[in-house]
Amino acid sequence: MVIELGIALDLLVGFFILGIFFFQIREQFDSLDLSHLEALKEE
Amino acid sequence: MEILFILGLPLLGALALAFVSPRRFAAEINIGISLATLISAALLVLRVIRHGDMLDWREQFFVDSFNAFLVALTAFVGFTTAVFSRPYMRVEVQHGRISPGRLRLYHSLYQVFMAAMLLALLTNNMGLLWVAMEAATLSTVLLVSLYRSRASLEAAWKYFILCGVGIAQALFGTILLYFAAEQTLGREGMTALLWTHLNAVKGHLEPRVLGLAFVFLLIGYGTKAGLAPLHNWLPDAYAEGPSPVLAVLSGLLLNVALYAVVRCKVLVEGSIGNYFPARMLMGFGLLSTVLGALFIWRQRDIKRLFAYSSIEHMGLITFAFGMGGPVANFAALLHMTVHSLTKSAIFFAAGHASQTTGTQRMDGIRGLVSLCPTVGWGLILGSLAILGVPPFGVFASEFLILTSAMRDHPWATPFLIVALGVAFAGIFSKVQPMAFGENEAPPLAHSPALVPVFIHLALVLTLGFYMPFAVSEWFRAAAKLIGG
Repeated sequence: MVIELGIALDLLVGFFILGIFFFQIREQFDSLDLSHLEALKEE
Repeated sequence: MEILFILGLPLLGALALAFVSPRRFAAEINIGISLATLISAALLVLRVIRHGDMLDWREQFFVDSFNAFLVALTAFVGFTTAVFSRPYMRVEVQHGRISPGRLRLYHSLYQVFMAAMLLALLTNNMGLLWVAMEAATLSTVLLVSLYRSRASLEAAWKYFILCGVGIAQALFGTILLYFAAEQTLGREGMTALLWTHLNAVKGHLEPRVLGLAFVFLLIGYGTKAGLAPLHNWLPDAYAEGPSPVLAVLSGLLLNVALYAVVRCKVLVEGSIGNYFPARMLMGFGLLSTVLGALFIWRQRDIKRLFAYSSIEHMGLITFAFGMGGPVANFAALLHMTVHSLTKSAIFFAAGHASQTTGTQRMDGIRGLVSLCPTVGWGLILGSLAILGVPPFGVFASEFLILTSAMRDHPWATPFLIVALGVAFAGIFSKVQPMAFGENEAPPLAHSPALVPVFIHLALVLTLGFYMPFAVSEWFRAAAKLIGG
């Protein structure tokens, strides 16, 4: 039972964080286009 | 009782810190909670030394010498990092890189992260282990993107997605493990995911299912441990996150992920009875060591440089666990300890170095020794320690790993020696001009807290010179437990 609750909590928080990310990405880049997120690469 | 304190204190602390205004004593409360956790961890260790292994709370928690020492290490580095982060974060607020509100988020999530790691170490339940690892990932995602810059958002996004996918594989592995265990242990009493029960019947578990489970568990937890080729998230997250977070990510979280892999390996090896799990660990380990060392040469960013060094060392530890046997396991445990102490010390020094000079690019960081002697010497000594220069403890563990590789797997030694040599030349040639040379930059407004750096390095030095009997006995018992 603890495991089920734990997994459910993790998933919930995970989706919450996904939401936060969408919000922050839109704020920073003015769109949800993930092609903006390709700057970090090995030189 | 101690376990309750170890897990409860950080959680309560996280709640409290979420409500305390960061302008008032939040950093001090953070330090206080970490200290209290450290004291409870020390009490737990004392009890385990006196009375042997313990099971608690309907067998849900299990402490033996293997995880007791990791709990102590985690609580210790957690405490010193809290001490370091107080002046570091003050300077960041002053430079306008983070707002006080985000400082509150930082302190609160820091304690959640500590609680998640300690839960992962203490639990006896493979399902809870997964839950705790996932919680540790989720709590650090927002810490990596604390600066909210474009680069840090991208790094955190990458970390979130890659580790999320990785950890989902581990969940599948855990389900397979339960599937195999249920046929032997049955459904009564919910014992089929308890490590102690699994360990007792590991010879009777279905080997084919367990082999499959191990692949998923290794890939899943290995992603978190930064094993190549699953390491892509690590350098980016390290380059963009704040230094105290890097110190705990690199010093502690990688260890915890590796701990999960080793616990699984013990079970699977006992069931399959051949070299499959050991060879997998050795292969991944060797690849990470070599790749990490080669990539060190191409780095221009100080935090990325040491991120690749972490990958290299994690590879080395994984390789040693793969070799198995009392000597190699002992060396791997010792290397885990000295690596986490040294690497967190380096990230403390590197954090202050980039604050002093205002840049993370290594060609902008010059003359640290004349600018701020403690930061400069901390960086030099830390780099020498991580490179395995003799009096430091890293030398002892690397020497043990190399000699046991020479004895059991001579084909691997040239790769290891070349990788260590390449890493040595790469890091040394980059750190030397950063430490010496000329630079004119104003000193920091808050004097840096470098006591943790030198405490860590002194411990590593002591472990290299002389290991107290109790400590070596402890490592030996843990090494035997893993299957010596």
